Amino acid sequence: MANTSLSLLERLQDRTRPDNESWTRMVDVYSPLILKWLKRSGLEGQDADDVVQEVLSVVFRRLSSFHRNEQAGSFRAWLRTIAVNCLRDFWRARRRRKAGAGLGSGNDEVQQMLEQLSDPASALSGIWDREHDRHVTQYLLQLIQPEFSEKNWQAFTRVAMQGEPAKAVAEELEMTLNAVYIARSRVLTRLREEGRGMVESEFSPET
Amino acid sequence: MNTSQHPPRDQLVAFGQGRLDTETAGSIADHVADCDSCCEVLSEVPSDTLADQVRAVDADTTVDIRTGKSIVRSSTGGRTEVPEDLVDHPRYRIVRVLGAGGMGTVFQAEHRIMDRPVALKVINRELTNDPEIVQRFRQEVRAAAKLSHPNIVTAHDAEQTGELHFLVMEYVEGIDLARYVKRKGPLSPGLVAHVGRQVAQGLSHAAQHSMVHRDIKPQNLIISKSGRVQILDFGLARLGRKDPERDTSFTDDDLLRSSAAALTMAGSILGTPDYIAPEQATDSRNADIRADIYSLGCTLYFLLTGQPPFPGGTVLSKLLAHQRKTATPIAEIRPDVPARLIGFVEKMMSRLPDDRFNSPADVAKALLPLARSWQNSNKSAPVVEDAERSLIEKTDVGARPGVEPSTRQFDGAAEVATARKSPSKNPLSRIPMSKPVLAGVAAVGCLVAAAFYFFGGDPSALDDPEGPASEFDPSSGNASDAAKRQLAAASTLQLDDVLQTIPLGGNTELKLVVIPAGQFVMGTTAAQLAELNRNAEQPLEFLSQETPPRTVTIPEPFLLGQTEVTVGQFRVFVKESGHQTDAEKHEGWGVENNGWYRRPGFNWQNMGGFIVGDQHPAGNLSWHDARAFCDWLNSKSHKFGGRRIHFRLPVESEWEYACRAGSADLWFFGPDGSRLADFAVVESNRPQTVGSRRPNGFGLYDMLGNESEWCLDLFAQYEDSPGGVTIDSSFVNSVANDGSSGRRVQRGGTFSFPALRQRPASREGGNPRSPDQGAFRVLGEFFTNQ
Repeated sequence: MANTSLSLLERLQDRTRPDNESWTRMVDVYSPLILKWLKRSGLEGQDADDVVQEVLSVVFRRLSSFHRNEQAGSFRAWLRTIAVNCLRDFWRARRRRKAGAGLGSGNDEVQQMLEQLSDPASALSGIWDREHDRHVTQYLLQLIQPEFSEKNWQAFTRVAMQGEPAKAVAEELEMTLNAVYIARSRVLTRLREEGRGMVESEFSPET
Repeated sequence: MNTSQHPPRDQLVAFGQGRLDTETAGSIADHVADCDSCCEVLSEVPSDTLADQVRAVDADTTVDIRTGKSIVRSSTGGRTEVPEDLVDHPRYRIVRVLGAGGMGTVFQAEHRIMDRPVALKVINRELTNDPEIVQRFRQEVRAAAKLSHPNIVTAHDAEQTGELHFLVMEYVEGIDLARYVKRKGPLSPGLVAHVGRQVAQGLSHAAQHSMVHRDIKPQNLIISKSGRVQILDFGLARLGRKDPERDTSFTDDDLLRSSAAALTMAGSILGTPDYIAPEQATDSRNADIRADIYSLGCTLYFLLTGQPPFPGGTVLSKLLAHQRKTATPIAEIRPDVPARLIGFVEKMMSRLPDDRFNSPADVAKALLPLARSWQNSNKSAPVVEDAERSLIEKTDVGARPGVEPSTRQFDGAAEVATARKSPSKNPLSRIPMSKPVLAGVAAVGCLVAAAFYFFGGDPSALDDPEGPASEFDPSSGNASDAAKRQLAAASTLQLDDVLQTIPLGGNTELKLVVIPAGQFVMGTTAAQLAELNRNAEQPLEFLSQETPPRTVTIPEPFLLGQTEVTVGQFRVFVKESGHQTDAEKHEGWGVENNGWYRRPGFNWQNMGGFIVGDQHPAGNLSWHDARAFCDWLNSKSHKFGGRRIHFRLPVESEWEYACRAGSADLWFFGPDGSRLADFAVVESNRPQTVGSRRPNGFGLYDMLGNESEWCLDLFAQYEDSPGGVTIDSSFVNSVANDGSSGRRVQRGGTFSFPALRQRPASREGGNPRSPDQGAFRVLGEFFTNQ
């Protein structure tokens, strides 16, 4: 498609030019999400921080070789796999260090969790996907917000997010109804553009 | 009128769903702007997966992209974390934040089953650690729940989920009178009488149930669209106060101690200093319902004039004013107020309780004729118009993320203070006192208490379930004093808050903390040297750099960055200025194979295997890079309290002074370095996002550890200066204008350092062109004559 600028993911995959800014964006969006999941698996403090960094550096190293396939949501599945592998490595190393110390039942739970997360069809993977999509959408919205005027953003959030009637919003914001719909379209267009590849099924362009 | 042809329907739908490329969408937007029939098509665009996804992102409840925690927006534009226990509560769904104070945060919520709106006041964890306070909370709520009156916000119940205690109360739509006046200016005399009468009626009902409010103020009065006024927070002002009358076995010492503790709990004793009755400030046990009448009088004074009776000045001066001074006569400020109404208000504000009205019922009766005439002439007109309400509820959302308006914070002072817990941990309790001192202590207690509120510095620290008050560290005796002085300095500078914010563009802002003027001993004393060396295998050579200690005077208050400058903040600077850092020109530090190495290509946003985010401190910066950032800030005009600000790096004495925050110990939290991990990123293998640890007494984060920070000065051995040093403008200028290329001071130590090398007095020197572990925070000084 002509005249389409690169999405966040595409900018990161384009190794012909270094793009540190996009990287910090990537870190900002994914660190909290990964951290949340690590904490659920019982990791805390410095350990959790270490594994987050590990996951991110694997993503960093391998992203250019990650090819989106036609399957929906392949990026988030790819990321989930990396996170699971890093977690496995972490626990394996921990087990070696604590050999003979006894691992307790907590570890069985972790094993089960990792197994479930390795299976794309499991309930846990489903939760991962939903949280991922919601989190990324939320982040991308925050990312693009400064590109819009206060009024247009208001119009968008109230109509598209909160589901208020467009007409009432137009009146309160002293905009034409046309302007409200244009604002909604512009934000959605931009959102779809920036998020392409990250939340694929939802963000696929022209159908 | 656009004359071009209407686009085909399916293209319009694609436009509505945001599926077209930017260029096509642009030309369609041009057409749609003037075409009403296309607009109709757009009104019926079917929802698709993206639209559903957006809808799922609740505009009010969001996830903090930094911490992954659930966040709700407040009606005033701030954001607050939802306590985890409430995220998926079986009965209540959090809708948004209504307000926050030290006692806790108030959320608007929906009862999931009964489908009715309620307000939840979540009590600070700090408070509920004490079972006695929890019991008291339940008692008070139970008592308040017996009150049922149209002018009182109904308390439903006290509930507990997990560790969390909260009060469920009636959700009232409207705004508090402080914000109302802020928006609309002073109210008409008739409306003021109408408000006064309603509050008096509510108080009268409470008095019949032997209840006193003790914290009547505009912020606790909610006015609805129709003009109905309801009193908020009955019973809560007393929360947290141990009641000596209930325990006859108190010794004098116990009594003093509990009084001192109680006194610091300004909420129980003081209400808010702007509206507190003189006798309540002295000893709250003297305060009966007539103290509420006094506070109501002050509130009506505020409604008529737009200012409290004793505006400006410190908390202490306000307290004393209530006891000794007479407020500027209303007639001088507002000549159009009927003498009768003024007479009533002044009678309510009499210093002696006996000179006031005897009961709230008498007040209501007196105000009746004035109120009635207003009601008759304003029968149908809404007091809070729809447009205004929506202005309040909608436009404010997202106004300034993370920042609650200062008025709210201040109002919280009373509440926060109640968070101070056991008397034994209170610094004041260690001071021997005799009874006559108590009145004076009441005043000081209030100051301390109010200061506690600001302790964390960052209003978003309120989001922390433990609240900013919990940041107070009783082990360091001077910490409370630091906060108190900080508050006084803010007041002198005519700043509404100890935390100030500069927008840098986009969503990025810079937060600065007020640091008061003062004096301290810089460096490490002989006794401390001996202590540090005692356990060392060989003498710690580097400690000699911190001696001899000297007395330093900081003559003027200043502002200091709440955190190290972050990558996100630095990026705004680089984007605008095109600045290229020394590391980019040469080389910087980054992680390879789990170790730190110096290589070309590593810089402030690329540290190899250490993946940098916007909230990490901007590192790999030289002293010159840091100064360039300050110059850039200075290229824009920044004003606080009407005075212009000049930005620069701190000199090291200012840095150490701010880091110590009044403490003379080896660390700002005390002499025990093993506690440092709570306050600093220490012995770690990489930096962390800023603000990941607890702040110091001034509410500054990451002073110790994380990244070391550049100071303005040349690095040199301290010289003996028996007379002490004063850091005035000539001192700073001589340092700033020294063109020497010698090493410059770095403070606070680096993330990898042990506690021993992360003390307020620790210092190092670095090549000003080298990016070695270089980060910084900015200092803002006030122009004297502008």
